[in-house]
Amino acid sequence: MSIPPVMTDQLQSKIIEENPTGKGLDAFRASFNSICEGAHISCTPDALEQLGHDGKAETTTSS
Amino acid sequence: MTWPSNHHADLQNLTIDLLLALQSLRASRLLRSSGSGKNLFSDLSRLNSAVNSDDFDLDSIKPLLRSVIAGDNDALIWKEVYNAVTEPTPPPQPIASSLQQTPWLHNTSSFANSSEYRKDVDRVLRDELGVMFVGLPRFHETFFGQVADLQTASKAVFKKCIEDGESLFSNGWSGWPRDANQDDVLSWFAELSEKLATLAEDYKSIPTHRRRPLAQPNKPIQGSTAERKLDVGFVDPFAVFLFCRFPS
Repeated sequence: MSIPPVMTDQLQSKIIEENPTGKGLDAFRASFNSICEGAHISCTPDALEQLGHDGKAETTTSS
Repeated sequence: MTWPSNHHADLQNLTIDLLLALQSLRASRLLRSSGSGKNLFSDLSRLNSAVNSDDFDLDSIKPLLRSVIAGDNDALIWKEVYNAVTEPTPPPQPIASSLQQTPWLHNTSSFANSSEYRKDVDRVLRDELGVMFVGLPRFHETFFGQVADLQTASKAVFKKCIEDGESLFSNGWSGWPRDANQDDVLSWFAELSEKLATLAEDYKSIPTHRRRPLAQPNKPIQGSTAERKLDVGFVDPFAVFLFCRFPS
């Protein structure tokens, strides 16, 4: 028996609502911040673009 | 100023940190899998190993990292999680059976005199095997469902296996080689499947060509450091006869 997609969507939303990420991802955010600080780049989501490459051509810093 | 040259490693570590953090959230065990896994947790584990394997394009996962760093709400974050775990769809592979075509430019036989890095070999093996599925829902029903009286026949045959003088089965299939190397296992399997086929003879509603194990010779590749393993399949001898007589 398959569950209709609308019902699974509602169920999924309910699970997400009832099980918040809370502080669960804070450790990750903290380690992102410390990596950015170590690399002297500002801790914005754009820093990801700089992290993605091997740093050889990166001579500018946005901080 | 010296710049760290391992930004890629930073991003890789960061990604693994995030995937692990997501796995530790209860919701990941409750949310459904994007494919045929048990739940989203299984998808995350699979992705985590892929990221860890170095052979992974981290760009596909950046939207997820971005969403978490930007402090998006949970619904958005989980949406990005689903995008990320669904991303590595195997590319469509226009490959029929390797029996039906001339040897490829690159397959495991062409590793002779190459450095044979595991990473490279794994990639070629994956290509050579084509798309593989694990845990397909209703596989048994779909694949064997059309065999008439399979349930009854298999029960009866299994009963014979236990009761027969030789007792093919007691606490496991008998005769499994102590040193389970490929030659011994193959001859054990050939013998067992022959016996099973004989036992099943009485229960067959439709006469069929009996399938037999087919193995390619265990010959080393000249110049290759790795030992070549046997290619084994379970085939209909009639098909092999056709193939050998009329190679396409």
